[in-house]
Formats: sequence, C-alpha cells, structure tokens
Amino acid sequence: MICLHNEKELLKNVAEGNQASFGIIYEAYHDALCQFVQKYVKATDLASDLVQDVFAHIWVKRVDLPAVDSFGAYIFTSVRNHTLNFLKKASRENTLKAAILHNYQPAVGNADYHLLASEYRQFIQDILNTLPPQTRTVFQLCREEGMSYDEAASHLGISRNAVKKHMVRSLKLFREKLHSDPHSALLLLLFFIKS
Amino acid sequence: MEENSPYYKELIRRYRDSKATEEELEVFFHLLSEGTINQELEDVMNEDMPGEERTVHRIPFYKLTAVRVAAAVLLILATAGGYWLSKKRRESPLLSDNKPLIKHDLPPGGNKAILELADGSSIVLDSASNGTLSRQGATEISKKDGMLAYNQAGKKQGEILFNTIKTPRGGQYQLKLADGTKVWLNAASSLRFPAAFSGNVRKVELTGEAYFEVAKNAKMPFIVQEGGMSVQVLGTHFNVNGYDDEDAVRTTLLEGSVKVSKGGASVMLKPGEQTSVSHTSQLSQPIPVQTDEVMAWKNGLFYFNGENIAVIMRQLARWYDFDVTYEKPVKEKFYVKINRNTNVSNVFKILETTGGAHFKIEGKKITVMP
Repeated sequence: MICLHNEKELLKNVAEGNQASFGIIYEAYHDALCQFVQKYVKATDLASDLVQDVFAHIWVKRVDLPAVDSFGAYIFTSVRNHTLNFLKKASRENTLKAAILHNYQPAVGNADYHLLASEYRQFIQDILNTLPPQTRTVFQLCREEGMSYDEAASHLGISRNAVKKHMVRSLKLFREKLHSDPHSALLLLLFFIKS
Repeated sequence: MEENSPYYKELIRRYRDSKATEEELEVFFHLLSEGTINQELEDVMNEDMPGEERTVHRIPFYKLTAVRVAAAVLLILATAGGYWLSKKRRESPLLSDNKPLIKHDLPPGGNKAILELADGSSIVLDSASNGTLSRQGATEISKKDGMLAYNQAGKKQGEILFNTIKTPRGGQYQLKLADGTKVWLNAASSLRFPAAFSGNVRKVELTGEAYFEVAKNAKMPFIVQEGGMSVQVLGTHFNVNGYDDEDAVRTTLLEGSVKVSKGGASVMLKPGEQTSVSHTSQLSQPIPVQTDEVMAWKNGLFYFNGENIAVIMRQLARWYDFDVTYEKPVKEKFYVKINRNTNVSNVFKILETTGGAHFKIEGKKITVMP
C-alpha cells in the first residue's frame, strides 16, 4: 500500500549495498511503523528500538530484498512479529512490563468501563480473581509510586538490559547521522547489530 | 475459534487504545504470559496493517480494518513528503477496484482573495502583482505572494477606515494587520478589520474560519466577533471556525489565554482547549482537543480523525469548490491525513482505500456512494 514510486528500484539498489536508497526507504516507513508499534508498547523509545531492530535486520539481509513481493507487507509483518515477541517477553519480565506501564497514559474518556457489557466485565473479574495478589507489585510501583521503570527495576532487583539502553541513546545519533552522513550512519547501525 | 476470543480481542483493543483499566492491564499481561491470547493479539495487530499481505480468505477481515490501514499509509504520505502514493500496484486487491470515477478533476485551492477598501472599491489579490497596493489613511497596504500586510505609519486619529478581505471557496489568504497581528484566513471566509487601530480595543469581525496570532498589547484587547460570539484576547494564538454550514462556532486555543463570550456568559480557555457555541445554545464548557487536527488546514493538510463523511465533504467542498450529493448514507468513519495541495481525485482515492465510500466526480458535482 505504501508505494514509493520507484520502490522496486530502490530495493534493488539497497540489495547492492546503496545506503542512500536505504535511507529513503527508512525515512518513508519509519514514522508510521513507530506509531504502529507505540500503540502496543506505549513507550516511544521502546517503539523506536523495536523498529530499529527490524531495519537493522533488513539491512543485514538486504540481498533478499529483490525477491520480496511487497516490501510494505514484508516490513509491517516483520515489525508486527518483533513487537509480538517483545510483548510476550514483557509479560514475563517485570522490567519490560514496567517500561510499558510507566508510559501507559490512560486515554481521555477511558472512564467508560462501567458502560461495557456486563459479560465482558464479569469475564475480566473472573480472571482477576484467579491471580495472586503480588502480581500487582509492578503496577503499583510504576503507577502509584510514580517510579520510573529503571527505578522500579532496581527496586525489584533486576537491572535493565544494558544493550537495550545503549541502543536507545545511540539511535538518536543514528537518525541524525542518516541525514548528514548516510555512510557512517550505516556503520553505526552495523555496530549495534554486532554489539 | 476459541470461545472467549471476542472478549480477548476487546481486551487487547482496549489495551491498544489505552482505554484499559488497571485491572484489565493486569489481566492482559497475565493472559499474554500464559500464551492464551497470542492469536488474538496477532489478529488485532493485523487490523493496523496495510492490506497487501492479506490472503484472499482474509479479505472480509480487512474491510473492518481498512480505515486504520489508510491512516497508517497517510501518516507516511504526510511524512514522506515528496514521495507520491500515485501508482498503485495492480495486484493490490484493495486498490484495483477502488478508483474514483472521474470526468473532470478539480485542482486544489490556492492563494485567492478579494480586498474591499473603505471607499467600496475592491482589488482581486490573486492577480495583483507584489508591492504596494493602496493606502488607507496613514496605512500602507502591500502584497507579497499569498500575504497582505498593513503598515501603520503614524498615529493619526482620523476616521476609522474598515477594510474587508474575502476568500472564495478554493481560496485562502494570509494577512498582517496594522498592529502586527497575523491572520490566516481559510477558504470561504471573510474578515472585516480597521486599516489602523485606535481607541481601547482592536475589534475585527469574522465569518468562516481563521487562525490568529495576536500581537501583544495589554492596553488594547483584541476582539474577534463571529455569529454573536466574541473572543477576547490580549496576545495569543487561536483558531475560530464558524462556517454557516457547521453546527457551531468553535474556538480553539493554542497559546496564551482567551475569553470567549456569548450573551452574558463567558468561559476562559487554556491552551489545547476548545469551546463551541451552537446557533441556538450557550457556550460549552472547555474540552481538550487535538490541536494539530484543528490546525491542519493552516499547515496545508486535511486531518480527519474519526470524522464522518458529511464533515469531510463540507471541508473538501470549501477547498475544491464543488456541490455534493449523497446517493446513499455512508457510515464509515475516516482516519486520514492528506496534503491539501493535490487534486480532488487524489483525496477521494485515499478515502476510497477504506472501502467504505466511493466517489463520482463530474466537474463541480460530486456524488458520494457507500
């Protein structure tokens, strides 16, 4: 659906290692992908990390690009799967869960819970009743005590994945570089993949 | 399908839209950790994805979701700037049968307006060349591209000379008033204002829609009057939309503070808030709004965030200058951002990707079909 008018050609160039073409594709898809992911992971930096991972992966596997039938579908599917896997992981790791919850801003007008079908509310309540009380810990730390997820993480005795943290900082650098100097931006990106 | 799937999907959507309560969040993560809702999560995420990757047996599904698909695409369009959506892929099932029926396309509007001077004479601004156009008392009126500037030379307290600038449908214009206030006038609108300001207030009269960046002057409040309502400010940025065919006059504040009054009632707005007054009722309490949606027109965009077709067609009609008829009611809500600087057929093409509406263009006559 997203068609750069010369996308096929750009992808062919990327496959041949053309960084400027990769930059054009990156710019065209990046923001929409981040917005898509952010709906599920809530935090801007997490969304940006996840999208970046996928772009990095695509660059590494660039020789396969000409065989891709629809790049839009390909990258959205990759990003979806990566986000799904991240969410599954987050559901089991308090640190990541805290990172999400800390950035969870209830939408304006979300006080409609009581208006939902009673069957749905009963369904939620039934599951809630089966949960042990300590699962609420992270929620309380992040949302009630106003702790950042780093704080909550250290409070819970878990340190945040250092590589991830490194990524977040470096990605800003990557985006800036991409405009001024695509060549070294790509080197940076490759560096992250290896690290 | 798992019996509880509809509940799971409801929960996931509420999580996605940040509507889930704390209890729902807990249940969501619990189910996710148990691996219970993987399929439902994937399905819901697919609702946000472009249509191409869907295989044939899933087509009915994307009918529901095409709205979000279009939104994603258009956000990219808006950011990608120079890259055109243009050539759709033949094999895309979503687009191949969704071409607007075009007989005569309509170009976008542009910088067009007519200025009426105090003596009743008028100047067509789109054809007038740049430079000094006229004088009104001590004020010199000059034009540069799509902008008109009033420069007040002295402080002569002569007779107050009123000028009126009018944009047609398909026109817009920018204006700098004698006090330095900047005004962006949207299509099918008019502003009556003094060529030079004197006295204790700066008063202007608006019809249609305009965005104001009022120059600060604590001693002379700036007042915008539209349809029996007035907005009073000292120096601030705000938008007023009061087209006759809209149900209410809406004032939205971006910066500073304003007082909106009607009859004896008044409300103060904070940045990001909007108040409306319908033709029959009182002022509404301020509500928070998405200001980038309100201000899209000034930034050269149409931004529809869950709008119905009637609202959209009213806006488009003002910019492309057409008349609209509805063959049958259209229920779809639209979530799109579109550049205003494109032919009407491109706008319809994008709206048609949602699958919920189709358009027939015959010159200035547009027919909307479900």
